[in-house]
Amino acid sequence: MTESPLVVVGASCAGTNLALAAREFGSQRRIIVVGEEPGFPYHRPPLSKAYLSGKADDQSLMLRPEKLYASQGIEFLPETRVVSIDRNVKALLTSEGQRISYGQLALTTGCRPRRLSLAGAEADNVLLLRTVAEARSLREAAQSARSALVIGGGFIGLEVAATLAQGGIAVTVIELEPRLLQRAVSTLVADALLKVHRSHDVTFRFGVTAAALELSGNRVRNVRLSDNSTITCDLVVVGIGTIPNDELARDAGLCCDNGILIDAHGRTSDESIVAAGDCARQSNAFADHQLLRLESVQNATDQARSAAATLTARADTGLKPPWFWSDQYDVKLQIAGIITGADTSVVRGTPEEGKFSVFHFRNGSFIGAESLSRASDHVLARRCLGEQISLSPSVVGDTSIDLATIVRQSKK
Amino acid sequence: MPTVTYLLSDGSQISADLPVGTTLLAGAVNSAVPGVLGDCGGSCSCATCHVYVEERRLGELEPPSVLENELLDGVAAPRRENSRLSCQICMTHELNGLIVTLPDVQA
Ligand SMILES: Cc1cc2nc3c(=O)[nH]c(=O)nc-3n(C[C@H](O)[C@H](O)[C@H](O)COP(=O)(O)OP(=O)(O)OC[C@H]3O[C@@H](n4cnc5c(N)ncnc54)[C@H](O)[C@@H]3O)c2cc1C
Ligand code: FES
Repeated sequence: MTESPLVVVGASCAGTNLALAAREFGSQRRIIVVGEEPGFPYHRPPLSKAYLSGKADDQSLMLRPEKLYASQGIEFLPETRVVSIDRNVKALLTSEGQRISYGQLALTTGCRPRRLSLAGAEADNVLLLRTVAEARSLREAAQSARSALVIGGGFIGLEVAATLAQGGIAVTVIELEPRLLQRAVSTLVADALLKVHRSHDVTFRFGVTAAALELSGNRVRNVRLSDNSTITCDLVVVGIGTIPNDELARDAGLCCDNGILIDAHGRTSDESIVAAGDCARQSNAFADHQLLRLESVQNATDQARSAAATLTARADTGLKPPWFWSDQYDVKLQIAGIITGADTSVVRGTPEEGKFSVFHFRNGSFIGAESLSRASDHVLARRCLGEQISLSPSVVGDTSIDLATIVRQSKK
Repeated sequence: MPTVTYLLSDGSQISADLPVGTTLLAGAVNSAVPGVLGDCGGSCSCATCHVYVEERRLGELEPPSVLENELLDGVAAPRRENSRLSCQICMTHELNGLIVTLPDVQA
């Protein structure tokens, strides 16, 4: 191990997978993972779901066991923020004043939630959700809250709304757009989710934003909306999107544009630096090569492995189709592919029962599918995208045709 | 505490004591069993926690849910009669001594 170390900045889903994959792919370097948060890396998805509801504990959040890292020769520096990168001498400076030299550098700094830009946004009962520390605060606050206002009807807002509503809290969700998840899902799926939330007594207000927070002491009591109405609540949860943590890269002169720009193999504009996960933006082969910054476990894991392959001069792990899931109540939404830009959409299943998929096509090609409680459609859609098996609108619209058979036959 | 044995694809094995109520995935993660990923954190979404349960004891497990059954079609290694997602199997006293085999790929 005479080569200088591989240093990974950001100790979460992408960083951990990158470090482990680099080792798996034969890297002989010392591997150091530097992370701002305390403790070892954990899964974020349960934070708005099973962890918030109390069904999952801290132990079950662990991404990998502590002893695995040691056995793989991966060192962790928790509670350490990297404050700058000097690319000329290949060294980092940490918040503790430590200087760390690197031979290879991986940036897996993720993203952070956008804050409300209103006076009072720092009040004790205005909460964001990204880290386990924030999830703990929210869980605690939820124990004594009777009513909650969720600002933003995106995935995190909706998952939090579902968990809080199931805990008996009266929840109102406000969303600026005329419907839920405007840029992420089709109208049919958004409507189905809306229906489930309403059946759990969640109230929705569309086309409005929070205009002012009225405080009593350190707590918000009333939120005035843009239409001048007022909502009184014990708790405010803000889920209005994210900002990539790309400042470190930008200050070091790497090309960034709403995320650290990477090529198809995870390389940044500096050949000894790769990036992966929520902080990275890449031309996406499944979306007509648009530059996308995806925020999903799949993306973080697959980009991490691809970047690790690049660092170890291994053949890339191949193109993996994007996929995502969201759990709300007992509904599982799964999305395969990138569905924006579809010109034809076909429903399979029974929307009235909330069990259906929407298959999307562009210029006659299958580009992705959304599935609500139809996991087998999702699994097949993913396989078709990954193995470039073509599907046609008429086939997927006909439920008398077994998609699994179609896929099997086209593989022969 | 009931014990589970994980047979790895290289022929070695790891046995772990699992508190009743914890999942076979959690047991594998806590014992650093290689060959299980569990990318979705046990929420029955990713199918990267695939195991083969010893045939003779298959009947002792709660059968898979509709969701688990559908997701099992998406596992990376071949799906067999005894394929299960380890995040969906909870440890009980009765399952003491259970043996599960890990596939050679998860993703
Ligand atoms: C509540 C919640 C629910 C979610 N649910 C789902 C879901 O159901 N399905 C799904 O697919 N995805 C879900 N996601 C998204 C998924 O968790 C992310 O896509 C994934 O965590 C991205 O991993 P990452 O490693 O790229 O970034 P992150 O997880 O954001 O990690 C980045 C890490 O880098 C650290 N860091 C940043 N800057 C520095 C620095 N300068 N020095 C040191 N450390 C630094 C940060 O502190 C952080 O720990 C959810 C996310 C949240 C928050
Ligand atoms: S851990 Fe993802 S399906 Fe079991």
